Amino acid sequence: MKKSIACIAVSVFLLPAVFCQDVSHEFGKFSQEEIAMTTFARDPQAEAVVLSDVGELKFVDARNGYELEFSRIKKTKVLTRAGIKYSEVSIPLYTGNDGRSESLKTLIAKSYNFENGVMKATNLNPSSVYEERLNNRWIVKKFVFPDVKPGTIMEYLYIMTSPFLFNLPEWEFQARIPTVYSKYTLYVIPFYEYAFIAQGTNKFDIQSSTVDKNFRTFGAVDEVMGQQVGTGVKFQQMVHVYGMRNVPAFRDESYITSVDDYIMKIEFQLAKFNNPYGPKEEIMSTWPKLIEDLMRAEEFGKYLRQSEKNAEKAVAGIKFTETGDLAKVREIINNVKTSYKWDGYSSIYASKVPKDFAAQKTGNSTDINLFLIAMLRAAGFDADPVLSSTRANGRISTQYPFLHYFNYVLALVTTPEGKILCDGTDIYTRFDRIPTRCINDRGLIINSKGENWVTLSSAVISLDEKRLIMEPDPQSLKSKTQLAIQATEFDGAYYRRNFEDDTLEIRKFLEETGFSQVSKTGTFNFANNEKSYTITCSGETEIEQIDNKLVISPFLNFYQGENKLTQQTRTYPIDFTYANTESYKCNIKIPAGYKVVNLPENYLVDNDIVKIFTSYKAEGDVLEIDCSYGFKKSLYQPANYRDIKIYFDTIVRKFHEQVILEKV
Amino acid sequence: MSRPKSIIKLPGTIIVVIFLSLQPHTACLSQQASGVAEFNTKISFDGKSVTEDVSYLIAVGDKNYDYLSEISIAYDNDAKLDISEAVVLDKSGSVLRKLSKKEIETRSDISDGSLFEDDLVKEFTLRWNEYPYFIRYSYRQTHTNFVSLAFWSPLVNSTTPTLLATLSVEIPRGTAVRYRSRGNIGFSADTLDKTVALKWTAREVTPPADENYSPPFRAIVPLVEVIPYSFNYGVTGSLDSWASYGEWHAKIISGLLTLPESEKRTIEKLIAGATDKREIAKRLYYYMQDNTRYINVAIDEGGLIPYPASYVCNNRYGDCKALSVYMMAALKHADIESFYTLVYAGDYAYPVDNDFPSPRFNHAMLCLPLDGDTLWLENTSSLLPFGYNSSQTSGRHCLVINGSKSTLVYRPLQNKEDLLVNSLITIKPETSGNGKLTIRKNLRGSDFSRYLHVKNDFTDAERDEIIRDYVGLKNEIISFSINHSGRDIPFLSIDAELRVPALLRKIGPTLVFGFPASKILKLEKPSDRTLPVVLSAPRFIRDSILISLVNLKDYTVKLPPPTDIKSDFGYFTLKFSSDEGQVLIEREMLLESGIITNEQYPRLYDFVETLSESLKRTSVIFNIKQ
Repeated sequence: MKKSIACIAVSVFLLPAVFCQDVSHEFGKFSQEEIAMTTFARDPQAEAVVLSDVGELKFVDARNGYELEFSRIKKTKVLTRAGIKYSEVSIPLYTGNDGRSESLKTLIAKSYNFENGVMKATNLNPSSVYEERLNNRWIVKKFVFPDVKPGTIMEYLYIMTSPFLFNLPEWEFQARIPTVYSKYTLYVIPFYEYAFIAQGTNKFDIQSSTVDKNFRTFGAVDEVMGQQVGTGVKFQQMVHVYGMRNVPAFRDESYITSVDDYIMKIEFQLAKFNNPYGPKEEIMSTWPKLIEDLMRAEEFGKYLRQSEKNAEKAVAGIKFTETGDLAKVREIINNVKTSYKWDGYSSIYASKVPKDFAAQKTGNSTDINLFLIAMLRAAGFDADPVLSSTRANGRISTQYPFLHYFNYVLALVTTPEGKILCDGTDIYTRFDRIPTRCINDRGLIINSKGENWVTLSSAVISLDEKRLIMEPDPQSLKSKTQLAIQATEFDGAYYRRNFEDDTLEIRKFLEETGFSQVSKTGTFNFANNEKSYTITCSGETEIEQIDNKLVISPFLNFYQGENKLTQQTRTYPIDFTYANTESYKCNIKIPAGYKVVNLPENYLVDNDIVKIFTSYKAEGDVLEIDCSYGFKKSLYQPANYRDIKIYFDTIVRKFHEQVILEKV
Repeated sequence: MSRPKSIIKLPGTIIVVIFLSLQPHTACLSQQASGVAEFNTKISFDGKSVTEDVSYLIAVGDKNYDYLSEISIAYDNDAKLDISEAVVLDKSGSVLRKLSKKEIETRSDISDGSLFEDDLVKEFTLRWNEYPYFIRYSYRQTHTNFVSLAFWSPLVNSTTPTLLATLSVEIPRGTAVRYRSRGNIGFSADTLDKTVALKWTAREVTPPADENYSPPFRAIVPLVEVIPYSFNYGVTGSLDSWASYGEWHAKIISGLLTLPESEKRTIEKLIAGATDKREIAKRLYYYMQDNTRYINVAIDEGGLIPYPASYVCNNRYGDCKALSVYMMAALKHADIESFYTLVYAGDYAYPVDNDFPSPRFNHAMLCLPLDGDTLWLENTSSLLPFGYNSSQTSGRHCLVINGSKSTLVYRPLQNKEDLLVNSLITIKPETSGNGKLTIRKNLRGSDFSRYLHVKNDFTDAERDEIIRDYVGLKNEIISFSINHSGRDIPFLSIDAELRVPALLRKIGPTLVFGFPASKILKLEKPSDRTLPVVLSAPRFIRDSILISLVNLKDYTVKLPPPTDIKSDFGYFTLKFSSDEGQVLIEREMLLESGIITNEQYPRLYDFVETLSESLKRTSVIFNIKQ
């Protein structure tokens, strides 16, 4: 049966026209060009290059139906010593809850060195393949290619089997080093239909879908006098091929969500099951279907339902101190934040049954947030899960219901004051905010009302305000300095999380930011995440003397000393996660016998991208410095990059200016 | 900094003993106290195997100490680990809940820098949401491979205090053991019918303060070591003396030195025509560097017992032990005698006691006596010169393995000239204060090892970032290069040209060249200091800074007076001169290595502060002529 696979391009990045190099894709075969290569002409800085990366996926007969057989042949040339690190290879293998697991059937690896026209091949010894256990679900098969140095070609072939038909192995065309040739071929049987999403490209250099000439059978099929008899089915597979040539290396840029969001790759998800003996079954072809399946799933919807009793008990155990719906919601959310500990794992599925979660008081993000939703419902509120993806996990696509884009569940509760997105894992974030790791585009609301999305970005502007009072002493060349840092919203959460109110950590931070001695520190509102978090300290900072002048650095080392945006151009958005304002106020008491000279100029720019403001005012024996900057939004498109880069240059300059006092 | 990269795994000796009643100890803890209330270790040795019974009672007084509820139990792959109990208790001692088997996660325990180690760790969390709560757990491990019986501290980590900790070691009567302790730990010994029970007890132990440049945790915490005279680690051996311990290593290594025939032919070709042993050794060393690399894999007894030379020949990689054995085999084939040598590598040179043989080394290298000289070969580095003296393995005792003549040898520290970092910096500022800076910096010592690695093993983009950090100026790099003029040369140079804004600071019409405010050492005030200061290697710097101001004739130059500060710990000098449109600044600093006691500390502090104060007031000033 001929079946097509839906093809949805997620992002549109056109690739320049390229030409095919003379490369060989068969195991153990090399072209002269590959052997002779000492640098890669298209990328002379490359420390290594993937010459060929060819994958194949097949459905093979197994005891209970089918399983996947994934094979790969990858050939990499090491060009410099820095490229030797690519000789370490890891192949992850997964084990499901039911004990079924992926396994490595075959692994062959060889290193090839060419000296004086003679090729020397060194085989990987099978006893040098190690199995690292990451946790109860994942193991990694690891090995190092033997005898690797600049000029070595490393090649490996492996075959992995997997019982997990839901997700076909994805394929990355791009790596941290250039790739000359990358191809993925899938032999898909007609009983399963998959949707795929291509990222990083809207056009493959190689793409085809053809019917396999060979026939296969499912079940008992015989041919009698030219007729097929039996209860089985005879069928042909579809052969889908996707390939790319001359893919550039992916090199990191600052202020992106995740490398995974931008790397060139293709992913698949089961869309339909064509039962040969029965009706077709839509798996995840629409968002409503995805929602419906989740609400039925054991580790999601069922978990939520089974949490009801324990949730009621938990709500009954809360001694509410305030009246009103919003206050009640607040207390429930804070109760969850303080009563249950997040184990650091994010998933869309619960990791344990509700009874165990309630007993153990610890769980993954979904254990906690589904329980939170159950508690809110038990208290009479309308609350639903929101499926989302953390920033580190990358963006989601709303065009097709690919479940594996998601790795997190938040909670959305309706109060008379409006809908609140919330999360029970982070004690440092306000009850009506989600953690910054979750601020990523949008989330899918899971209820019976169809496909509805909610924006996860926050319009709230956080404030990080520093106020200093400095009293310079020309004799000792030190200033008695008092500092108060007041941070709100996500900035407040940042300080709470980083220091956890630990005096020693705060002192270390202050010493790194320019205090030569810290005599006293204090904090306020650590436990109340709805109030601004304040850190105070008193101590000493240094003054410089030049001739008869004193040079004071009012900003100390609080601000970054360089512009992190170093590229000349950028193709990815600039994502600050949340909008914030940095405010700096410093009052310097001018010592007797001194006056201020050469004050830095006041500065103001205020447009729809940024506001940068600096003001220096000398009044009597006090110099008042008032500076601030803040980007108006959290996300900017690449078109704004040049301007933002210039603004950062200005910020770096302005927030490192010094004050000069001269002896009268 | 390049650091010899192999860790010699020691077999586990940690154990916790069966836990006692909660009541007396929780009564000692206030509502808010958190830490280890009780920690008991019982080691039973029957002559062939070591059984460790361990128990903990941990108090969690508030949510800041919830991390104490995250339990990890490391164990050897060949040890049988049995967790007998793990429960959460309330303050009255009632069980709130028990750990279930499915809550335990098992994962590989692989240290940083290793490809693979077959040790494992079991982890679980036993948490409650009302405070205080207590965690009680106990387990047993049995080993048949052991070298020491106990290497035990009453402190479980550098931040958690312990109220009560005991170690008891039960051995058959007549078993020869050696033991010692450090810190305030009580001791008693009981002779029973067939066994002897040694017991150590520590009470109210608090972790040492976290102070800059202090000795590492393991060097200062209370500690007990119990070493049997006879041990079994794959092969039986003796720790009766350093010589007998060395003999055990020698016996094992003797069977590992066989090279494949092809490798022998390669070696013969390589050294053909050379007669000088040093030259032969050098050729072989460089051949090993060019054709092998460091990868650490520790399986079974791989913590102490090396892989054979043939393993390195086949794989072209190995850890410090395997690479040293390989090098030893290659030298042996060339008829050159060398000695496998054990050392504790790192910044801190742990003292080695001549009268207390113990298996406390973490690195292997080779000792090569040649022509009345002794060379030390670091076999894990593919870049260091032949015979290079690294600070990570010098200034300390090593155990040179030579059969029954194995002995401790002191390897001297590098002298200050070996570590000199000298620079020539030329500054060409314009009248705006901006300008170009060129620097040539000759690096020795740890900086040399580090930048040799940067030159050879990093991508261009990575090198660019590292150089920007190193030159200390985040400015436009016009050009830079790292130059190493020959693989025998124990120093390299970084040449860089930078465009720097505010090279000279402009203060009105005046241009100023000053010195950075950072201190040579970040020291606590003497009143805040409790621990000695360890400076593991001398710091010796000599710089010449030449300022060529454009239109210098339009300026009068005001030079500061010279600086000359001396102390028991080193010295600092600054000299200024001006001639023909250029200002020359010559700077030299020496900070000696050593251990500075609490009594000496105030003088060190004064030296550092005096130097810092002096630099704050020292500037070259260019005033425009009226």
